[in-house]
Amino acid sequence: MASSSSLRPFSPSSSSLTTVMKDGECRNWAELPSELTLSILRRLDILENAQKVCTSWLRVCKDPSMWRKIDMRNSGDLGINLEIMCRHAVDRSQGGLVEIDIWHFGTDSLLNYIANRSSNLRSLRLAMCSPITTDGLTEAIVKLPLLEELEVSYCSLSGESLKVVGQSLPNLKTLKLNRIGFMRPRYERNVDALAIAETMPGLRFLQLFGNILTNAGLFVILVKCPNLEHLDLRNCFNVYNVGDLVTRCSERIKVLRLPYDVTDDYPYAGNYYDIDSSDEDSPWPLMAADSYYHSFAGYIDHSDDD
Amino acid sequence: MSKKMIVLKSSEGVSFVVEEAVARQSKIISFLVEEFPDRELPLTNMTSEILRKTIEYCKKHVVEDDGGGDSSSSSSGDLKEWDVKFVAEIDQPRLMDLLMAANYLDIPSLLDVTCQKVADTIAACNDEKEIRATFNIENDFTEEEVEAIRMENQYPI
Repeated sequence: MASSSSLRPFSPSSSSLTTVMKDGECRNWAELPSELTLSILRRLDILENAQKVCTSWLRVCKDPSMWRKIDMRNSGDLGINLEIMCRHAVDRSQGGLVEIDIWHFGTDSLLNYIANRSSNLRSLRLAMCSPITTDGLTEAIVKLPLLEELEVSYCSLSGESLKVVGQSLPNLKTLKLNRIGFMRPRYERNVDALAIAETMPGLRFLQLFGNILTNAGLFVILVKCPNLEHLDLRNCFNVYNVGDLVTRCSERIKVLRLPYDVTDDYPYAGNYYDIDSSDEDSPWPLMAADSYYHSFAGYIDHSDDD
Repeated sequence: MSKKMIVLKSSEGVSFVVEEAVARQSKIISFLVEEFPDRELPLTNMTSEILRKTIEYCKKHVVEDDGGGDSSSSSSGDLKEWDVKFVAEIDQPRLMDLLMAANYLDIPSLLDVTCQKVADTIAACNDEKEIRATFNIENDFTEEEVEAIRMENQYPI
């Protein structure tokens, strides 16, 4: 068998190890091997303070692997230029960006900036990014063919564009396309549903909060997306007897959220229109209104698929 | 049948006799036990104190991992709580030694709890000065570098 020299892994292997592991009360954490510092600092949500500690921590904070996920969810009122900050973070990822969340800011040019530098992106989640146009979004997404997860919540994305998006993303497994629902009046449209059914056969997770699809639209999704395991149809007030339909058409669905299910685990306000035609004076018909969402009147246009 | 024991030796030459299953929480030891059965394993860069702590952790985890299927969900919660308490009781210098021991011996779960403990401590600090004080780190930036960081992280509207 092997000679005793094979036991060498147990001898002091690195000088930094022997320095820090010898007896003594003071340990200089700046001397920790950088891969361990990286493993620690990666767990922080915010690197603002850590990068100012010392040169070795700054170096770790600038490591591209620290920037594979960029989470810019926020309340929309931080008093700083989030767009510049986001570009800075994308620069630091040096092409290695895997996941990004953007809430309450963003422009077509930002999306383009990200798409041109992040060919490895797997997950793009946008919410309440009002300046982003459906064309700008589509143009960026077609440059991100590896996307497996796409969220477009309360942003503009037309049904037509959705089709282009689906055709460009062969690996798409998760789609969250959330809109403001319509309790009253009842608008019905299956453009989203048809685009999904036609171009996203590989979906496993589908969240269509507040969509105005009907049972016909739901039926084609169930038939054309045989791998669906999670289906969230909350605030989709045009679909009926969903449980029966799902049982008949799909064997794989494990989690099903029905139109009138509770929305307390939903990250957004989950507003829907409920306009009583006899009360035409009502200036603000949104139900479940949350002051946080007060600026969303304009989003009614984005639910329009034309 | 009696359990198979192995001997681990600290940097001070103190021998620790532990059940093989306990020591095998370390991937490195697990590998070495197979390569060199019946051999005393010298851990020349681990003090007795840290080795004892590491063994304590491994003992707890091997017991819990063994304990039958029915109580598994509650025991995994208990184990998490135990882990949190375990690292909470360790002072800063010792925590660094333990973290490096976990890395060195390749015990992923111990590395995870120690790294997390450090990260939580950093996150609880108000600013970089408090972090430096807590972790005994010297500010080695020049004034120019400090200014460069400040400029780089400004995002005026």
